[in-house]
Amino acid sequence: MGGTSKIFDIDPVSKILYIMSKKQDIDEGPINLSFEERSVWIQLASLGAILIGYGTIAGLMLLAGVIHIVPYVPVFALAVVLLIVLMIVGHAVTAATSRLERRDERDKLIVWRAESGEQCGVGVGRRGIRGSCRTHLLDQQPMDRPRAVTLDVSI
Amino acid sequence: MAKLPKASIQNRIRALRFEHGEMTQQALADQIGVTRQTVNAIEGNKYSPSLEVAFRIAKVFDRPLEEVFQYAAGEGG
Repeated sequence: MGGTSKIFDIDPVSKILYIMSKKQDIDEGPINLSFEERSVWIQLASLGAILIGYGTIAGLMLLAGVIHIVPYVPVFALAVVLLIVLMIVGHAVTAATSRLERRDERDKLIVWRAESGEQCGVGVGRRGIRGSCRTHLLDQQPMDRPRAVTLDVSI
Repeated sequence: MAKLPKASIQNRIRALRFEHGEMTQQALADQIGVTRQTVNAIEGNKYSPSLEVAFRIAKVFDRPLEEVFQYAAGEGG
């Protein structure tokens, strides 16, 4: 019986009272996410929204024939600013509506896991950018290659 | 390489809370220094606490650790 709870070891009357007491947890209120959990979700949602927005605008620009990198810089800068604003507002609202509680061991685990996932995402993105730069390099004329190499190294 | 059996840690915190005057999750959480979400996750076997927290829970209920938590090796173990 290793996989079952030992709750039914208690006497029958207690068992009935115990089952009736299941309402107790409902009376305690719903189990909301902790601040750290909310924080991670806010970051993920903000990043996703901004990424989709930037991807859409950049994609439309690319479809419109913009092939130079300079026009994309303000769009990217705006995306970064919006991302920061979204995260600040999200965290402020969450902090204002959450119960004051300190970070515990489970919260730390949540943050570690989120950071691990984030590092994986950054790693994949960085390799993707490097890969696309290398592909771009192969298309360059020999005269243009030194500049392109500088760009690649700077990333 | 041999595959390790799936194992989980079961507990009877809910029963012990009931036996201790229907202690709420929040009350237990306050006594052991974690959030209510963590107590709920431990009770639901969704999170295995650290040894320190496990001992603190056992101390609150004044029971030995093995009466609060049970290690259950899964099938094939």
